[in-house]
Amino acid sequence: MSWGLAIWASALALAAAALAVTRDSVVHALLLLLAALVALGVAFFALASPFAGAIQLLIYAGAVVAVFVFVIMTVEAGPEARARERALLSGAWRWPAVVAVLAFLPMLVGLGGTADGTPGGVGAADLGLLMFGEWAVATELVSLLLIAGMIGVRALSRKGRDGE
Amino acid sequence: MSGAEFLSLAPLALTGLAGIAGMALAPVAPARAVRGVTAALVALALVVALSRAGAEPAAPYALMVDDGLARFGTVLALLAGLGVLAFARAEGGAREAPALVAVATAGAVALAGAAHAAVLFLGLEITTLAMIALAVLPRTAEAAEAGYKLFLMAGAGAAALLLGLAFGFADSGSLMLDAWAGGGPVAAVGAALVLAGLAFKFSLVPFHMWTPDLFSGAPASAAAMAGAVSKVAVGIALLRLTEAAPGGAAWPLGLALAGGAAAILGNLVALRQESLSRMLGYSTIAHSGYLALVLAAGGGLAGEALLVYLAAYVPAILAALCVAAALGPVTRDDLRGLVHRQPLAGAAMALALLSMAGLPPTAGFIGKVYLFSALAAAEAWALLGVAALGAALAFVYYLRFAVAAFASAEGAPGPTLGWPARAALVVALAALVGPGLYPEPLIALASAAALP
Repeated sequence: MSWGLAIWASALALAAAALAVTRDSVVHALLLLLAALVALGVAFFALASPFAGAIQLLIYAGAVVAVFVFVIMTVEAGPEARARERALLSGAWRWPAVVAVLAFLPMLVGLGGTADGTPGGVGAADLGLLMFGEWAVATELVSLLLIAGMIGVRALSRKGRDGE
Repeated sequence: MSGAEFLSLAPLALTGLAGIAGMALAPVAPARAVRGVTAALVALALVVALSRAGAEPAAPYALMVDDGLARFGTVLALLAGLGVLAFARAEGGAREAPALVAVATAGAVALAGAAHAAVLFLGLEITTLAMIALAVLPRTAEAAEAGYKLFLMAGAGAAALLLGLAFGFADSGSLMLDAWAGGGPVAAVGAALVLAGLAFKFSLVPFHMWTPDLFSGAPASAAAMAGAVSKVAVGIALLRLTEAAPGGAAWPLGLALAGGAAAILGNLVALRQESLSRMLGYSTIAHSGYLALVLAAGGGLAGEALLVYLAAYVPAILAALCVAAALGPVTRDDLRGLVHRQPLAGAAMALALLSMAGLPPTAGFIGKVYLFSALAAAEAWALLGVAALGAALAFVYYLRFAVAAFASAEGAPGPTLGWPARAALVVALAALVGPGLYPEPLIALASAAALP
């Protein structure tokens, strides 16, 4: 593992998160959050945890932020909202892009590398044994958590029939 | 997995299954059938849990324990869940309420046996998420406000809890809750954050802001989840953590401060409430405060006192909320003569209020006696003074409401109660008066469960 790269990426994540919570525009904050999550993923890779890093990039930076963006876009639709959005977004990608590039830069120039640690790869078999062996109760509880959320969302998303 | 190990997970599995069955049936079956199937499965879980009373501990996974404390909490949470099911209504045409009650109860059962940070967090979040959904089910403005407040507070609480668990892990290198004894500054910060996260769910001051709104704006079933099911589960989780003593002195100090503030502030504000549900909301904060004070004082009686107090409080708050659900939003004046207009509802309400005030011959009296003797046994005189002051304040408003129920009959005829609500009220009355007159069995159960 490479402590230098991990600290560098974590510092970038912190900076991006600080920028994210100080923005006025939701979309700007969201893109900075995306950058923070990507930087965090790089930190996991640097700490010789490629599995956690991949999950971080795929699920958080990928799926979760995509859902946020999707919700914001469906809430505000219409031509004038679209024009306003385009104006807002015109420069929004710069800071996030800077953060992402800075996070990956050491890897590109060969400074990073998870050289001196053990490659902490997690095989599918190991993962399955962990999730459905020792951690089976927790896995089932996560599914129960999703069910709680799902029932609530379904009940709430029915068409209003009582004076809405 | 052996049969005994399988049985140890059966109450949790059956309660979760009840939630899934309720969810699957909700769009296709009539509301009564949904509730019946859900309640039958939860009752089956209760039977399994009761049948394991004297069995050897058999926990198949290290994440959960199967000790007396977990079993006591499981039975109490399942009883409370069944009680809530008896008066959960099809709010706003939504038939999902029984499923949400069952899922929240499953979270509480998991929490009662949590030995690992992951189960602690997941159990809390399952209960909270189902409670939020239950709160917003009627889709009125008040319900939305209550649900939204709970949602924001619960989110902040969950974030604090996760950060605290991360600090605990960083300090000890383990996520097992009993590995967090003692410790330096990192452990103290972690313990403080974990306590803050749990205090949100336990509605201790200053993390209590969502509670009165939930009681007055949301359906009574959501309030009952917060006041009974979730309170049992979080109380037992707090007891388990207190035995592990994370973060050295930070934990009891935080409990004493938050608990003392809750016991005083909750009672002071409840004193000024004219609305029944807001009074119950503020008084539940005070009851959480007493329990936190007992845990802060520690000593040999603390665990037993917490369990007896919870066992006395659960039927009282359930009976009060069951009647409140039938009455709708009422003030103290609307309660006048309830005993004459609807004898069962009036008697249940009056006895529940007397029990919460801690008067004989109710279970609440035994709970209060235990509370004060545990504080005295631990020689925590300051905490005893705070708890006594709070209980004295509570006398005033509980008695005002109870006296109103006994006043001469006037006004509209009493509320109509369905048979499940009647049955629940009768059981709650028995659970209030029985241990009040003959407390030995409850005390024996609690002391056996509290011993590690």
